[in-house]
Amino acid sequence: MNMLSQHWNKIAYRCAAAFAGLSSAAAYAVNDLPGGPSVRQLNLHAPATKLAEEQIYLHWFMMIICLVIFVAVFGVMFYSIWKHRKSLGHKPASFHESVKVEIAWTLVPFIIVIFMAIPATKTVIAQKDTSNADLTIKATGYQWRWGYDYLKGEGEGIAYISSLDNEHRVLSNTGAKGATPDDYLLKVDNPLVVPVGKKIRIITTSSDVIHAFAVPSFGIKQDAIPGFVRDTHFRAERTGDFYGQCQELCGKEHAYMPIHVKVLSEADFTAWVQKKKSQAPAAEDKKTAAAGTEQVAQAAAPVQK
Amino acid sequence: MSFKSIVFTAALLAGTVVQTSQAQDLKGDPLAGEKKIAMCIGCHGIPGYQASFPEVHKVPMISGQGAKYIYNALMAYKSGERKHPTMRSVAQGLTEQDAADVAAYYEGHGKSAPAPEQLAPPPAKVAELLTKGGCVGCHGANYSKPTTPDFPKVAGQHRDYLYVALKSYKAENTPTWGRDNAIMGGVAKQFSLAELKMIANYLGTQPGELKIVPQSKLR
Repeated sequence: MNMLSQHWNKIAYRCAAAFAGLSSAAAYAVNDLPGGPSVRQLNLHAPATKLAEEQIYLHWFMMIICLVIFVAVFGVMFYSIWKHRKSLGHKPASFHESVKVEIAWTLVPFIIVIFMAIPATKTVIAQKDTSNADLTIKATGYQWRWGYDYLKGEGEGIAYISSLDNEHRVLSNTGAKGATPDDYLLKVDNPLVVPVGKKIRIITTSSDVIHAFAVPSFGIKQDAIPGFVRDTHFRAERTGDFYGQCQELCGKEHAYMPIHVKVLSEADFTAWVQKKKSQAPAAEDKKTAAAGTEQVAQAAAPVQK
Repeated sequence: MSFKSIVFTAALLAGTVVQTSQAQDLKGDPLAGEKKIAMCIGCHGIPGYQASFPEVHKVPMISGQGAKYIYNALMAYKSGERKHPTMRSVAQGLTEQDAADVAAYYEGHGKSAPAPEQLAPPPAKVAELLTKGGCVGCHGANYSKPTTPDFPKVAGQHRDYLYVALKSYKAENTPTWGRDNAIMGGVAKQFSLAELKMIANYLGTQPGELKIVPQSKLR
């Protein structure tokens, strides 16, 4: 009897603990991150480009066709199995090499596939069309950071490295207990900044192993391969922050090289470029100045001898 | 305020207290360093890990290396004196304080018994090359006791890495690889590649204090 009550106490205690755990988990609730993952998200990211919208449309289009075929095929099959079963006295039909049937089961899937391929091909061609970009940016994958070089268009010459906030990395190492920020493991020091409504061409390459540059909200993903140059493009339709991650396993810190794209209005982007440009020459001057003193020192050395 | 900016302000404050002219004498904190080494472990903490670009070679062992040298190397990557692209990207994300902390961590990481004072005499040809290069003058008689902490311990380092490192001091006007260093440039440029390989092979087979200490699987 005593044993039993002890047992019950234990269960009650565990339940209380579990309840406390639940409520504390609620206190630490993570929120949706606009432009990034949402809580209990099942479908694709909310689109921010025309192409991403088209991809979502295609995704549903294909899913519905698959579902209709699935229901039709299995419906007929199970209906036949049930209604025309042997115990009711049905006899199997016996025919061979029916030309009509063979033509039908070749043509029907062929037509369905073509019907699906036409809109898909249109989108794929649009995805690959990186011509006439307003801005060209090179994204270089490093183990484990992204380097952005503005090659052409407004902001030409800007180059910087973007890396994960170390605070988040430390948080991950300790098991991410307690409150995690909404942009957990997606916060970087220098996001990629682009103007809204402009065609941005992203050239991807890598300096060590294969990485992949991907931003789900823009519907882009392109491998960054060492020694090769590949490209992709997007035209963001609204301002805001959009997030992605390296999508090709690239080593130990693969999960810790996020992509953060900041889409600004054109005026804000110009202001950002001005700011960045005014910072850059300062750093460059310092470098040339240092090189200059080095040269002077080298030139002076033989004289001192 | 981000962690980095706090560290940076702290570094600035420390700098002003110590005196700005002594900015290089940053005090590295191994405990702070332990939180900044995730990316280091990704290559330098994995036995047999190979760098793939610009040349394929084993990544150097850094556990047990001198802190001052590691700091110098990171700063050289940051400034572009050393051009290895991936190391440059890593170093550019570190403040001077970060670099000092990481360096201090790795100096004490997996500390081993000191290397023997005397090494077995090298083959005559190698001995000649080592004398010509004056290697002992900076890296120490057993190549694990550099005369100033600015220089690395090299005994027992991976042979292929030593060779690539020596070779890269010979490089001139190359955008993605090579190292600019007045001292090592002068030394390396007087040898042929075959000779550098002999030096690297000798140094790499000597007992040293460097090692790879993998991260524990149980954390």
